Amino acid sequence: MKEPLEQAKAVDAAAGAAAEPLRRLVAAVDIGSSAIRLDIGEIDAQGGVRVLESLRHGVRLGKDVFVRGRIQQDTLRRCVAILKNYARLLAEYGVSRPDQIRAVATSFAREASNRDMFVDRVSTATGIHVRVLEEAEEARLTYLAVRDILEADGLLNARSVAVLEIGSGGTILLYLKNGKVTVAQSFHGGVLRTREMLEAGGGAGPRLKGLFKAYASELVEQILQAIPREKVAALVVMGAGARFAAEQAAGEEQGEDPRVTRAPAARLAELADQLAPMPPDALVRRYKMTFQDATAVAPGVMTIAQAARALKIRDVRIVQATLRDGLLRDMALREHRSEGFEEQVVYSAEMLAARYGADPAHYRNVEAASLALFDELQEEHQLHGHERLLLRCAAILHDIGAHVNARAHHKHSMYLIANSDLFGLTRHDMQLVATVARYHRKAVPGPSHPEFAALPLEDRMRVAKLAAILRVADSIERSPRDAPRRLLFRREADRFVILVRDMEDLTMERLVLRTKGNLFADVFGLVPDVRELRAEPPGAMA
Amino acid sequence: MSRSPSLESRFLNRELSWIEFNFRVMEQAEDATLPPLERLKFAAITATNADEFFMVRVGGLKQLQRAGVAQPDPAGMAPAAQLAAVSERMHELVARQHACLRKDIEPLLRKGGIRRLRLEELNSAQRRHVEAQFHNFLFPVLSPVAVSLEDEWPLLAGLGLALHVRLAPAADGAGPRHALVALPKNAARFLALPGESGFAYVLLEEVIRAQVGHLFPGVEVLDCAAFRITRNADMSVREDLAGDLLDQMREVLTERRESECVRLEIEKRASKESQAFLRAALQVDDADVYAVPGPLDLGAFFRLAGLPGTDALKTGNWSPQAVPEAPPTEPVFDTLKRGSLLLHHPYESYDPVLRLVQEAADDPNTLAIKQVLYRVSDNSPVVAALMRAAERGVHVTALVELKARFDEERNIDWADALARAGAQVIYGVKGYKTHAKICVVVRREPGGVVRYVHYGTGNYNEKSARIYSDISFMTCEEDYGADASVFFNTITGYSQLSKFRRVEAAPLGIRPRLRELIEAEAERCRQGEPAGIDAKMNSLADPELIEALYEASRAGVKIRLNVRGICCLRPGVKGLSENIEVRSIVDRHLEHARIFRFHNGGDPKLFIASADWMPRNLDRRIELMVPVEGREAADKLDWILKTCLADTAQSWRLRPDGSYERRRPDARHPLLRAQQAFQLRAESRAEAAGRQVPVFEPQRPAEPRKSP
Repeated sequence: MKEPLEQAKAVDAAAGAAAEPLRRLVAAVDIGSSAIRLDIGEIDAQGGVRVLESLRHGVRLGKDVFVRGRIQQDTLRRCVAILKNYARLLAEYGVSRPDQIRAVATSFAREASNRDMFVDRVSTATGIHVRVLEEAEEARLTYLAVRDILEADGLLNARSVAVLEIGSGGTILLYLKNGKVTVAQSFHGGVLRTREMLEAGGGAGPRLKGLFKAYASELVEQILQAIPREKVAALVVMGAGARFAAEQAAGEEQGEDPRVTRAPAARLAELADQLAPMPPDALVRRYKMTFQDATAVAPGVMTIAQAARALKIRDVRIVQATLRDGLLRDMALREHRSEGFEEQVVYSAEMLAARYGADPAHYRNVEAASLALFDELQEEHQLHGHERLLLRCAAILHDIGAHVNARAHHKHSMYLIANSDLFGLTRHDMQLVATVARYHRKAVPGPSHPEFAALPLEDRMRVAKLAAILRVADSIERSPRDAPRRLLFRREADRFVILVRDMEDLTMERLVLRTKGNLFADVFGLVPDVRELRAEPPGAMA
Repeated sequence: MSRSPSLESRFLNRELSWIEFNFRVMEQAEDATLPPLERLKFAAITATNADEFFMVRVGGLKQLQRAGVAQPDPAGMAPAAQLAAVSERMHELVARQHACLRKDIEPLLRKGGIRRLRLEELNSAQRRHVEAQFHNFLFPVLSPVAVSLEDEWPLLAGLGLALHVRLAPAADGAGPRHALVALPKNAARFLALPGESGFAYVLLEEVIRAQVGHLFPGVEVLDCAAFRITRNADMSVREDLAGDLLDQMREVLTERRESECVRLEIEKRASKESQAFLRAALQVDDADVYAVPGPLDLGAFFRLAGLPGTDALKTGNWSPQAVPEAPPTEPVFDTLKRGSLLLHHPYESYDPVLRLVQEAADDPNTLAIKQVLYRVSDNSPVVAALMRAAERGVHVTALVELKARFDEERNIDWADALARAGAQVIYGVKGYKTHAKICVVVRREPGGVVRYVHYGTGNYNEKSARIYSDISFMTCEEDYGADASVFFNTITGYSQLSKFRRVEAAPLGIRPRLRELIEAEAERCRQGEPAGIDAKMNSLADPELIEALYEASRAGVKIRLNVRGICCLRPGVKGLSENIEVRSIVDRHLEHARIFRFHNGGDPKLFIASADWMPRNLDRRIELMVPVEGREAADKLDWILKTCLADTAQSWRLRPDGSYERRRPDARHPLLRAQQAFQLRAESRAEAAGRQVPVFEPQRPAEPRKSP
């Protein structure tokens, strides 16, 4: 017989084990220019991700698209076959619900003329719902993929860090200042594209090397133009060429994190010189790599070496992180969409506003009033956190069009926003933000406006609701103030009364609200009104 | 040994080395200290080994010779020279087999009650019994075929027995006529006789011979002799055994004559005329005729060893022991959570391996079971468990290797059944034979997904696990589990190969890794550090790795090899291999484990593998080499290897000339029989743990299938 205490412990342990919920299993599928990859991961209670399976299969999607502009039938069939196998493995883990799988297609798909057909065929045939990833979204996922590594490496506190993801179809640049992304940009200089373009020109040997060099320096030049002219503390790179470089050019001194390899710029340059004249089959023989990797490594390493030189970096940090890591991380974070993320988006919106000289004293008040209204009207609009974030961005950016011209500045705001990238928001998100900003004054949304009419019904409703709130917020925040004030709300029959404290004169606000509150009344069925809330004498509270 | 192969070449000839192994087995048959049925088994093994050898190796060499290929093997012997040497040695072996059978084994068996009677020895009741058997059961199925040198011959089954009958000339004919009578395949070779104590029998061919006149009414039978032909094996089989010849043979395939005869065995009593006729008709060279002074097909005598009531004529049972680390009452999952498990079969029970699959099949948390199956037994409990799991909705992936030689039919049969039960069945990997022994159970647990892996050196065959000595390594450590997933994702075609964390796989990884390990020892030695390589395997025939070992020997690395069968490395040659010792254990169990140990500057690296060091294993098969880490498992493996190398009772030492000499104990090397030491230790550990559990209770499949 066991001692009673031991028995009790055993029971406790058993109960504890039973009480612990099974960990969430998720999967990320990356349909890339040169390979289709799958990671299956497990999310623990702290939001950490453990990768259980990692699969890859080479495809020639990039080759098809970058050379012919469209995905060939053969390639499509092959993709379907590969994804069917992946689906089988996913079924083993019971990963089948849409919220468990994120499947994305990257740069090649953005450019393929038959992308819709591709996405539809692949999704229907395999049951894996594929989305074409926008550049901005890809940048955000890249950030998510490296964030933990940067944090562990102390780089989130660094003054300035450049992160380069050199993929087959495109290159992504992230520029971080004190841990905040200030620049997120995509370039079309992918390594596969490079090979395609260069080899189409019949280059080989020394000629090939010269072309790689020229190509890499052009890409690096674009990168330099995108970032501020200042001392860059660290260059962090990822991608297939980077991984290869980590194996071949690692320096003697390494940090503790096995995910980070430090490679001296000098060694990278040597390696690049050595690789560039080698045709892919020679690389395959020499380094026992796949053909897909072989086409990628030389231009990739060349770009890294040149970027290091241009940025005067001695040790490049090569990180083991992939787009799949970002996707898995994103799913892990979904439950408690982190404030960090929202702050990052807002920060980039503020950066954009500053670029166009918007007045912070005004937009901060509008932003605060918009959010207060949004929260108060939850019952009425039934929208969620993501729309709240879009409203917030629209509030910050609504006036940037004034930079172009004060007249009809709402229209200028619209196209400026629509053509900008906010880190973390998708192209579609940006479209919504732009449209909401456009309606912060003058005409209300209507079928005669093509940008509005082109939106699906659901989005038209979202825009109308958010714009209604923004118009009211903008109406009641006419005079500049140091800090946002507190608003109180009261519903009186069909009126929605906004109570403003300590205001001497609300004439201006009332006037504006009368013209701009029309949309609010239409959308929410409540006529907005603004009133002064007199400070009560202290005794009256009881 | 009578033969001394030349000392000129750096390598020993592989065929002759294989024959040498059979001589060592033959010596077991000649060992007077063993009970007679054990000796009979060893003799039978040499015979079945020879059958396969002729079909595959000799067949391949003959094709090369016919095609005019004269390129020498690494040992410097052209096909013709190899064939001549093989024939000479094989004739010696056959003579030894039959001398031993007639002079030693049969008299002892006779004393023990197992008696082969000649027809003259039967009493009248027995004779009547035999005649009745002939008329009732044999006569209806025998179909004599008239043959001549001019006409096309009927297709005789390779390795089947037949009688050649020479008949008197027809009244108007010029010469004698000939006929063939094939022995029915499903008739028992040993016909039990009534009225005798023990087991008395006559051979089937004797019975038919005595009554052969009934098949040719009215014609005088001049002569009747049993014979047996061996055919060139077909390509699918050749891919297995003759891997090193394959490339050359592809070119000569077009010239291949369908199923040519590579060996003719015939009773010595056959007349000169009979022999000459068969030789001419089958186009067999003199060197390929084996006139046998006793019964043909000695391999069939294996069955006698299975007769009930013959325990007195066999050695006592060494029963597999439960290991204290894996109590049978505890789920294997819990056992492995406490730590990795290394098992040494058959001394230690195969039960935990079976239970892993069986418990996984019935466990609601099991997500998937994936396994490579190769040569499983009939009514395999592993297959039954997989079927049960698949029916329950567990994702079962079984890679069924159809190229497992001579087992194809059986494999397809249950593989279909598995597929019907809902398992994903994959019939091998194109272009490669999957020889790796691996099973992984993926289980969802509150702490996260856990993968339980079994890596082994032997097949998932609980029956051969009682005869072969093999290693199992079971673990739930993350890296090994991740590697198992990578392995299966690769062989199922789900993914292109990515890097393994711990294991290495052929055809890509094992050869370079072994070279690296060997060269690292050599380099350490050159730099004055201690170095050493101990390895145990079944065959060592890979020229590249042998050269690497020579190089290490020249650098001063002490290399001790335990090679059971073929060894093309020539040990103990000054300036080439004086630091290399090669030994071979031939004992009760067939040595089958592959264990490699590299000294690694005092922090030894130990591996188990499914692969021998042969080109076919390293280049044309999918194999696994697994590092054994974790102190307990590694120490145990180390001890096993050391004990094998220290054996002085059942070991042979390979001499530089390719011959073997029996190793004897001396002052520095006390008497030690490794297999016995393993058994005793397993028993004492089981005893110390307070229980001695019988194992391998036959477990029937959930729904026994009808055999076709």
